[in-house]
Amino acid sequence: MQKVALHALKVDYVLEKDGYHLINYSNLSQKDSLKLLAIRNHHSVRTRMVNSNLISEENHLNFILNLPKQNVGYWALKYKNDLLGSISLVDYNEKEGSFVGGNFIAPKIIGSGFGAVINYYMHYVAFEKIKCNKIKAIVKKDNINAIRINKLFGAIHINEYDSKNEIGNDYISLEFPAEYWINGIKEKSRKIIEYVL
Amino acid sequence: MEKKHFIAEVKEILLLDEQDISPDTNIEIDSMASLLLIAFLDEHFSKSISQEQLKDLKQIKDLINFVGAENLK
Repeated sequence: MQKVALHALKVDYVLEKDGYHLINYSNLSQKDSLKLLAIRNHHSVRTRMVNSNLISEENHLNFILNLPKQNVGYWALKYKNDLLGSISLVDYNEKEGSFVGGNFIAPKIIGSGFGAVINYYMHYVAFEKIKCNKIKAIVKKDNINAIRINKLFGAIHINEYDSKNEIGNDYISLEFPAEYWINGIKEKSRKIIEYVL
Repeated sequence: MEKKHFIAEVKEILLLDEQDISPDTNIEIDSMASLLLIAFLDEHFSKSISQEQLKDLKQIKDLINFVGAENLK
């Protein structure tokens, strides 16, 4: 098992596609942080999330202030000055070298196929920069498009989310091993996002 | 690829509810389906399809013609 690069959770990335950047939440301006919060709080975005509650500006800014102390990574995806979405890697499991991955995109680009792009960059950062061994994900059963995208990225459907868990039976649990990314998913998904960008 | 597997994949990609899929079954390709179809056709048939060609796929038979009936057992 290769060593996970935890320091890479805290940096910004210039992506190979012209004009695209991943900006760590800790490095976002307050204006952009609040713009991103507005996207996250939009009804069509938050209702697809495990935690679908509205988040206050005060809680969001406090959450960002506490990020440097934790083994988590949160980035905003920007195209030039436009905020397009967010990716996150949380719940680091040292034994497995795994993170729970999450992402969302701006309401204006939902339905455009951009979900594949944000997923591509989440896998790219997790496997090529952080060098983790596995991404885990929890998806709402009724989020058909998320399930379809995850299939594209080689998701292994682990089981119906543990009914003993507090979030209940409305979710499925998925895993994405690093070797799948290296052995074909990267190339396959790269071709796909070319159609979107 | 076996034709029944091809149909099963297409049914899943296009979220078709019909029990019986025939060559004349109409299809609608949304943005997500178009990405999944592009990946499917590339992976299993080594075929690239443009957005323009995707728009011309109206029925199951158009998809079969695109991959080539001879490539489905």
